[in-house]
Amino acid sequence: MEKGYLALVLHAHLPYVRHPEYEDFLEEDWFYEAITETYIPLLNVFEGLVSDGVDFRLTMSITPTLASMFIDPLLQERYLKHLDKLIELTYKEMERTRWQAQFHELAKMYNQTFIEARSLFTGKWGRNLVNAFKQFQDLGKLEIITCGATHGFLPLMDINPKAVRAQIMVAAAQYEKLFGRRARGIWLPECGYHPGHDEFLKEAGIRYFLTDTHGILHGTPRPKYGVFAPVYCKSGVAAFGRDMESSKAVWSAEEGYPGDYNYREFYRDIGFDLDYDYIRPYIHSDGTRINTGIKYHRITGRVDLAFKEPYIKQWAMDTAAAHAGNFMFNREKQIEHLHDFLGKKPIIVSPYDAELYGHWWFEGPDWLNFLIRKISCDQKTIKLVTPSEYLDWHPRNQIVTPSMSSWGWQGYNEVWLEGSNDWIYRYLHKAADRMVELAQSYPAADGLLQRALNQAARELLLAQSSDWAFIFKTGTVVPYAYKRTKDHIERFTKIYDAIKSNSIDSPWLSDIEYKDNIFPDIDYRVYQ
Amino acid sequence: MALKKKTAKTVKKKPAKRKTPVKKKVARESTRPVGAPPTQERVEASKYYAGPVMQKFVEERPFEFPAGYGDNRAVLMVRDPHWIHAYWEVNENRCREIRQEIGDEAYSRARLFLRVYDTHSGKHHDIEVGGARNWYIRVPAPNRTYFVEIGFLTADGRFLAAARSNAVTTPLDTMSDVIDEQWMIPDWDKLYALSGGFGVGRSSGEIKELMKKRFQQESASGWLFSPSSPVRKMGQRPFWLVANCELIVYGATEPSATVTVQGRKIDLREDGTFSQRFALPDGHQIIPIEATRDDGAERRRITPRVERKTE
Repeated sequence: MEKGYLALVLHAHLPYVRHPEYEDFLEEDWFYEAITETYIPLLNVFEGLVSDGVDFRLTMSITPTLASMFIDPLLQERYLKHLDKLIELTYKEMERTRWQAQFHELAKMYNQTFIEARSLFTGKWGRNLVNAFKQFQDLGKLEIITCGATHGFLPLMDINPKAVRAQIMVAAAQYEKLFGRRARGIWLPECGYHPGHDEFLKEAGIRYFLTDTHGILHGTPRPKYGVFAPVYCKSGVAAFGRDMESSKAVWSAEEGYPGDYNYREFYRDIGFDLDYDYIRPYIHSDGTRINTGIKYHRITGRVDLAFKEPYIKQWAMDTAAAHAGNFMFNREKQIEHLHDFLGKKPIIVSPYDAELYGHWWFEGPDWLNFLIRKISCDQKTIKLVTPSEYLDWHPRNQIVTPSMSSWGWQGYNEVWLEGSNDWIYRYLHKAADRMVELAQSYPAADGLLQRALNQAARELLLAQSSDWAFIFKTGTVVPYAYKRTKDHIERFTKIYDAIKSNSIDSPWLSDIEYKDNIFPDIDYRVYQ
Repeated sequence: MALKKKTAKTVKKKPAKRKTPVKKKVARESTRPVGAPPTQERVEASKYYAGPVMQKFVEERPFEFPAGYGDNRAVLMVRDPHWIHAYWEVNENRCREIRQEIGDEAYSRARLFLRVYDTHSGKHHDIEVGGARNWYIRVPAPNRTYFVEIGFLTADGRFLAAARSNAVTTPLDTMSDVIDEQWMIPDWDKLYALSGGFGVGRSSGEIKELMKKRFQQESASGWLFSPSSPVRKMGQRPFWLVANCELIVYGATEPSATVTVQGRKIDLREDGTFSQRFALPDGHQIIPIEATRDDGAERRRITPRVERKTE
């Protein structure tokens, strides 16, 4: 009989990046890379577990923006083009590295991986990864939860509660349509919780959300079981807190598994290593060198990129297995200890960014695979659960209002509210107010006006993605974040002005509907 | 704790208005992650990372974020338990009203202030904001409700509010003092420690500090998963060199012929030309290139020998 529970939660998210107006758009590569490196490898892990009869439970948020990209035919088609180019490159690499046995093996590995990914994507998964993940949900292994419609950071949206509510309601409606049932849980964007927002979750039929550790620990009144049992908000929606110890095992700079010297080095990529003329067809069409995803080196140690040693797959796999064993052992000890201390079965909630697995931590999906198999075969202390399963078994929990919190740096709102990005809220808030004004002024629009109102809602939602503020803060692709913030605010403003002056430009509106085509079924009245 | 002028600190923020970049072609540089932001943040950032690139966007039409909306408004947001952030806009109508109320003379000498109200103590605190349009405000205590007014302070000390903000409540930065009467808490200190993952036996005060430092510690660690960020390294070394050799074998024959290089069949282009590219390690390579006519009746063979020796 188990002594406690482990809930592994993967948060899969990318902002809505889709640019039909460009032939080749660099930022779309985020999505293509994540499919090849994270989403398909995770599906392969699930598939392997199911076919080997290994029972498992895993919770995964698929954000509405990511789900929208999964089902978009243009992006599906472009992904295949992207993958075909990669496969072509791996063939060339197999030739080029013929006299370098270690690299040659790796070129073959990538070649096989990409070819398999292609065949699964087009064959078994029918190009639609929403359906792929859904199959494992329907089997009862995977619990897919939703997120804010465009991953808007809700605590900084609180000035207009209707805007917060719309982020939730639009997400819940999309979930129901795509997954054929209501969402049981939600990953609040960046775990950003503001007391009171649980009322909107309740309205959407959502049973639980996740917070960072201190969201629960600093809740009022004090939570009796810390983060090792969920609490209920006054609304009756449950909150599960992140366990810090298991979190650190993966996230921590000093102790985290992904930094092991045997693992693959993320920053050493042939897109930058190889001769320009050779690699030219496989980098950005304007000739900018970018990552290809083909990487031949291991982290090696604290050495310059130039001195990285070749990657040895077997060493990396052995290490991943050892790390899985270590993680399981530590959870067993943790659960045994907590079980005795609390006098009840604790739940350990371990949330991670899904894209950590495979994209950054190349061996992450293998680690997960080893971990789930070991938990299934090698021990009896830990039982894998989903949060909703836990609530079914343990419906009686303490009533606590969690504290405002996020899982960002410093634990509150600073990542999204600081010198680099604070200027956007003036525009976001105004647009939200105007959207509510429009929705209330036109309670029953039809035809062109209805289309304009729906598009205004899309533009507002897209502008609210927390990704833009995050990019301003981290300084990675600032021009793009600026472009997106500007484009959506501009389009929203133009629609607003056009509606107010009764001068909607139908061809222009059609163009914007074509470009920003997220949430085709949106109903602007969600802002009433 | 009462909010006093002495204890309340402020950070001046430059006005929020940003210049719209160059109209036609915008080229802003982005680089590989440098330095060491917190691990989790860095991983998240890697999602948006395709290599150090210069991305160019051609702007279809110039669009400027408006300097204002002609509103009379103040908005307050929470940054963390100790800081809140306000932005505001005061419109001409409201200024005119105030001017009429206090007269031209007083108006011309009045200055723009932010008045911060602490609803817990009932006290307030004034910050002169000059021409700024937003401000970070240090507040005296977590778990309290604040609101602000933006307005004019006259020379004789009268405050005329132009706009009042929403009220916000800062979060707790430690455990709550409220203990649910229906529940017995077994051993809070120990539980807090366990929940925080810092082992057992520390007092809650210590743990609280550790909790607070948690993210700073991670951010302060000199290196992360990947010990060397290339840009950082390149910045550190003044001069550097990387060199490698590749070998290109190329040629042409009848388009219908079969060609092997080192015994492996290769594809010909439509015109019968071919080229092969190899990473060339140190050592000796023999590279037999053999073409066979489509009827198998004739063969030609060329065998380059190549040696690379790196010193």
